[in-house]
Amino acid sequence: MPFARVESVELGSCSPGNEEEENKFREVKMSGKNVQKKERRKKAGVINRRTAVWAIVMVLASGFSNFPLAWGKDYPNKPIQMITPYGPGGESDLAARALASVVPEYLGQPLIVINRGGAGGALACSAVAQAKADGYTLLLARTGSNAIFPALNPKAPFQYDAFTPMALLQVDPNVMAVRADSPYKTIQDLIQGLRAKPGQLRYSTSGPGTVLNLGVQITFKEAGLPKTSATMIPFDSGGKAVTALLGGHVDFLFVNTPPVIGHVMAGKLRALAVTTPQRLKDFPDVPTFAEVGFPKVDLVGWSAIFGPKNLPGEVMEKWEQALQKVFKNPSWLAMVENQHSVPTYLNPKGMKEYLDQEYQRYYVLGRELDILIK
Amino acid sequence: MADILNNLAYGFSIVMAPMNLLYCFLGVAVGTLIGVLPGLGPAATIALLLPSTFHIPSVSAIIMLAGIYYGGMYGGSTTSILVNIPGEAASVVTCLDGYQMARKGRAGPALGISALGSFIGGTFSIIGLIFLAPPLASMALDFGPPEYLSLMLLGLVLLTFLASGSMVKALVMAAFGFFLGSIGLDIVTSHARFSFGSNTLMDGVGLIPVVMGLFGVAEVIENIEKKPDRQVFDAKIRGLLPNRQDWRDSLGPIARGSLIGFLLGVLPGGGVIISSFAAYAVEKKVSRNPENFGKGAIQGVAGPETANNAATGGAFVPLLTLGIPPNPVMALLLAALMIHGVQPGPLLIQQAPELFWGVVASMYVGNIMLLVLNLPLIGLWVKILKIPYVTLFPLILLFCLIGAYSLNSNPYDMLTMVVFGVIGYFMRKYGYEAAPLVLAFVLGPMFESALRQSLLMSHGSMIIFFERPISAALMGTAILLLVLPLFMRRRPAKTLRVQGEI
Repeated sequence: MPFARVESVELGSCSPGNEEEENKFREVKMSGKNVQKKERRKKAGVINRRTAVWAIVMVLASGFSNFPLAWGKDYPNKPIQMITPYGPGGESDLAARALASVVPEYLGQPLIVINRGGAGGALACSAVAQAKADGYTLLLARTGSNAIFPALNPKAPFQYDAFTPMALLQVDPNVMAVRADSPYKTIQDLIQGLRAKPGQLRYSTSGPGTVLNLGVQITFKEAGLPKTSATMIPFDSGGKAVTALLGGHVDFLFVNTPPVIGHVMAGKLRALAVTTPQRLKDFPDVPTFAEVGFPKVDLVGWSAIFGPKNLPGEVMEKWEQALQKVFKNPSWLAMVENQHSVPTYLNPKGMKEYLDQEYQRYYVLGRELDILIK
Repeated sequence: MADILNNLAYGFSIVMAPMNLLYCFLGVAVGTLIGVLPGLGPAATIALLLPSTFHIPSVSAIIMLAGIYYGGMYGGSTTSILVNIPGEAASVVTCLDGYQMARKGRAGPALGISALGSFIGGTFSIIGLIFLAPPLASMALDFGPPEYLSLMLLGLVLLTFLASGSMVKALVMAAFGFFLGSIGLDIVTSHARFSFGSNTLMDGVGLIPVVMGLFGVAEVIENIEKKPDRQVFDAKIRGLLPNRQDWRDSLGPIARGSLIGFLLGVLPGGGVIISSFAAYAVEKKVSRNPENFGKGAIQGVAGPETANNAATGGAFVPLLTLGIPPNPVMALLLAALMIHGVQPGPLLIQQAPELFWGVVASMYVGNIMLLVLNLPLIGLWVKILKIPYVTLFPLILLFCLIGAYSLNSNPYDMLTMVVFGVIGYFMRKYGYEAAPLVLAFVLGPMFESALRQSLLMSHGSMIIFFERPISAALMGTAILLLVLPLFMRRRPAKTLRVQGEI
């Protein structure tokens, strides 16, 4: 095996006279090694040119990560982004992630969920309203962000109809709850109690412009009670509002079902009525508001898929077909049930009508109750 | 008692299954990594990994996700100590003394005591969870707005103990912190305050970008200007583990920190950030040498780090016994439980005992794994300090920017961080401390909400704070702490030194 040639010697580090010995030492060392290994000249602190070139190439290449992986094929040919208007862990996030775990099978591309919470959902909604209408940026629309927020907020950064409604996915019922040791056993009891003690009872909400407050106010309106029949105590979130009820700091609460189900089943809270047209599987002996004489108290939370305005027909068709199969997928149905939601489908036309109705309802309610966000 | 031991044995038998051990390890390892990266937190990670847990058994899923949460608390102190960037909001306090210890060449002991304190705090909180969970949880429910107000008042009194320099400047910073905290939507009327029409400001200024800016970015700017004496970092690090003196100094802080952290963690909304500040303030108050705090006192690292890990254990109490998540990460775990078909609520222990006891046992195993994982890594982390600052600081800035963006995919968070970095730099130049600002920023909004909620409840009467027993007790303690120094002038010389120039 020939000796590898020594390409350089650090003269500074040797004392004169030792040069030859150094050379010999290196030759001896290198003879045992693989001759193909080149000796790299590296000065301390300066990055090797080859490494630098590779780094630049990698950085440029990563810019192409959004390229369609299959040229010229139909929609979808790259991953689809679904943006949720609230942070992780909430109903919108769970709905989106449940969908994202089954729909790739039917669409052929992954669905990536991005949480863009903030400003009551306005950040996500305005982002999607302004996005390119190619079907790769979609919104998981919710009642709060897409109907209530634009209705109560004259300065909203987006119009409620600046979207293409694609489908309704699921509906979250709301419920009126009290503590188990409360004297009110039915909605009528509660209304009588409010009439007897005006302004004395308290209810918790997560803010004046939320369903928790609007639900109570619409119940008051239907029952002919004034707005101030009870004192509203606002909290930061629905969860804290429920905690306040459990601790006895407020008397009643109107909220979506998931936070209260466990407590109702454990006998700590009592559900008085639910807002869906039919009784819920979770509470078979709790009447609906319609049954107790308040059919107009049918506020529900809903999750829907929206896209930017003027989505191409091809995108709509693909999604309609995929969703037909999603609604028959047992794993998705189980996940939605575990979230205590009711899977409900509306096609694009139906969803548009429903959205218009919802927006109108909250628009009128907001002005009647004078709950506008200034 | 025998019941509990039986159940624990049952729980351990579940955790010791190889797959569950693997998930536990995966969770704590990912959690530690996430904790080290500034900005990126357990909430975002758990949300990302949640879908991948849909197809594994629920106990394994919760074991892994819980591991990410308390693992994150171990990792958060690493960057605080090494480069003065809080990896988690709860690690802000560790920056105060931990970084100073690193500057003196004692990064190893700081990291070591932080890991060991975290282990002890975590273990203590698990024991608390096992034996005290139900009664503690129902006591937590009794905390309504008046009780929170009194607690926040107590916290604000503690704020004054945080200042190590001029008291006036600290109070100015606190006032600034209150102002920053008020930006956003009013809780009662939903009117936007100080948002100047901006959608991002409508939600308020984010805590994490502010904290990363004030501590991390400001430090980098200052270092670039000063060309600091980095010889200390390059010199051989004396001893990687805490020595006996360190242990003796830290025993008290660790004990107190465990208790404070666990109790505050149980309270919904109380949480990890407040527990670390409270532990720091308490340590400073009971110390014989309070002037050492802020300059590298090991008690200032041991107490808060123990407290924030004890608080994470405490946070599981309301989640598992009542189904109430005391903070956003627990809300995610609640969602995970629901998705897996486990109904969270008071009946969880009875309906799903394998889940409760399995998770509790896994927390113990996870804490041991974390200790074994983190102690040897100290040597590795300390080597990072030897990277020439020319290369190090752009990396620090890059990670901070990525971390800030990762919170909400909102580029304005990055802008906030940079703005506060510049503000923080000027603050340092003129001797204004960041810690009182952060505490006021966190406590201020909570104080205001609690005050308004309480007054709504009482229709305007202030008596409500004294009518209710818990609130009265806390209020009394706060007033006592405020007034006591007027009557006790035990060591006048030291008191004046602490007050600084007025």
